[in-house]
Amino acid sequence: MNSQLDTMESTKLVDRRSVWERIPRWLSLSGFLVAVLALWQILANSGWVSPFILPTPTSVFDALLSFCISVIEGGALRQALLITVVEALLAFLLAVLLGVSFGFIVAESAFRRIVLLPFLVALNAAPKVVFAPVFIAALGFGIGSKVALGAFIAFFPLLVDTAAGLATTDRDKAQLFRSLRASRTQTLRMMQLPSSLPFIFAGMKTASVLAVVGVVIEEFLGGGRGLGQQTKIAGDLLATDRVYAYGFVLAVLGYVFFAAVSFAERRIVFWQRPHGTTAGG
Amino acid sequence: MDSPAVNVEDVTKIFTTKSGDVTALQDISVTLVAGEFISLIGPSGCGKSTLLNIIGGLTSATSGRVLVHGSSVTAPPEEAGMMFQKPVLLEWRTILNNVLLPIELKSGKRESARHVNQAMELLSAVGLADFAGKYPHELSGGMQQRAAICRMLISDPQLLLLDEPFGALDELTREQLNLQLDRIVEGVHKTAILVTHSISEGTFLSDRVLVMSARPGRVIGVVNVDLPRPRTLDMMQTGEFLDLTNRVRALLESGHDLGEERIPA
Repeated sequence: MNSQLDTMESTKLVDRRSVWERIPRWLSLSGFLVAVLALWQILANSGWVSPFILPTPTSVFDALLSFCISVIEGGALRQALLITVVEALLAFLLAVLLGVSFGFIVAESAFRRIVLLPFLVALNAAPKVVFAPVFIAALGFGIGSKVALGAFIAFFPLLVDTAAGLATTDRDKAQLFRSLRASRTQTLRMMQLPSSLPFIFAGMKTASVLAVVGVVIEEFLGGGRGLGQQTKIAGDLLATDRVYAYGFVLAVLGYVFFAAVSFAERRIVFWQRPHGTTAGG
Repeated sequence: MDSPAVNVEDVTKIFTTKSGDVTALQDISVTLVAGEFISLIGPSGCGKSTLLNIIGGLTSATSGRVLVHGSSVTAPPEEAGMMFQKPVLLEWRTILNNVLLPIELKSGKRESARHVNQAMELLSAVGLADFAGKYPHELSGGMQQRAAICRMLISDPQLLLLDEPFGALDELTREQLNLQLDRIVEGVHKTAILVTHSISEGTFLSDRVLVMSARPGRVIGVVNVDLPRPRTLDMMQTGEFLDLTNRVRALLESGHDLGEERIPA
């Protein structure tokens, strides 16, 4: 059924392909990037926008270059980057551990699924940043409070997605397992858990980005020696080019996390791999 | 051999819905001797799948009871193997490991490893030996359903409960699988109940075809199929086979007309 739909869709696309579908992907992507950078350079040089708000791409590139040199030479910024990477990694792992476990606990009882889950979903919508001062008060200005906020923010989508995945049981598979007289644990371990892996990975992808966000927010608010703190210092000094450069580095960090989870997803949930689409590229 | 393999005694099933009670099955009584193959055929909504699920212990009857080999069915009986309309394979398991699933669930991984040869024999019998290491998404629908046959047979069930297993397949694949199923069942003398929409499929495989009508689901007629076994596709061209299918069709139409009259114009 699905493959049939896919072919129908692709034939429709072939029928009226636009310019963007006919030129190679790398060309359109890099062309777009160059255009944006050029526009940015013109805008920044025009004098319409203060350099404190919009530095030129070349000055941001310079700041990025000196950041890279500092990292390679083992300067203070390498230390800062390393701290933030470790914080984000720990926050992510903690969120996965707790989110998936609590997802299981929530999904396993009707009370928790029906009564507790809506509250957790509502809590998921709340701006969890407001708890940042609480973590500083509890864990101090060190790495602990950063990991805690990162994990706290990343935790909710994992919990909700895991619980949702376990609750969305395939009726046919449930009937098969019932007819084979499978025990509760067997059904959970051999059917529900693997079935919910696509959901868990969706949660992990959201969490991977949120872990970095949470850690950086806590560094902004609670000091320490990570790259978020360096960005805040640069901002206080109105060194906007460095703010942009570090922001770029943190964005890359978030993307690397996301890409790593996506890679693992394609390996582990191989049966869900989209067939013959370029979307995964 | 004297005691019946399956005894359905006055089974009635009433579903409670928002718009009132619906009698899905009314006073159904059927007895199967060991090794007998019967088909349940009837229009959609005649409760034939419900009856199969009650025999398989997946649904409870509102009244009446079902005995499998003399003991009352309250949960899926151990001697039954089921097949559904969809193959329902686990996407993350290889075909071989899907076939071994019932053994692994019942006796654990070590025991299932001892059944690998047996699983491979079954897969060879349905022409899937080369696909043992593949995953379900790499197989066609017909091949997946053949793997499901092997999964049903691996635990050597004495009673096969087949819920329109080939309903979603094309005609040629269906005939081939019917032929394979006939050989398998014939060879090991298994009792089987097949739910089907197809008159020729039901007639081809069965010793008896039970024709049902809808609302309430009732058995309105039985056609005995005295064709010799093993059955061959050539038999489907004989006048005798045509006679039998015509009788099933006539019964079905009589039941269908009754149903039509009850629907207000």
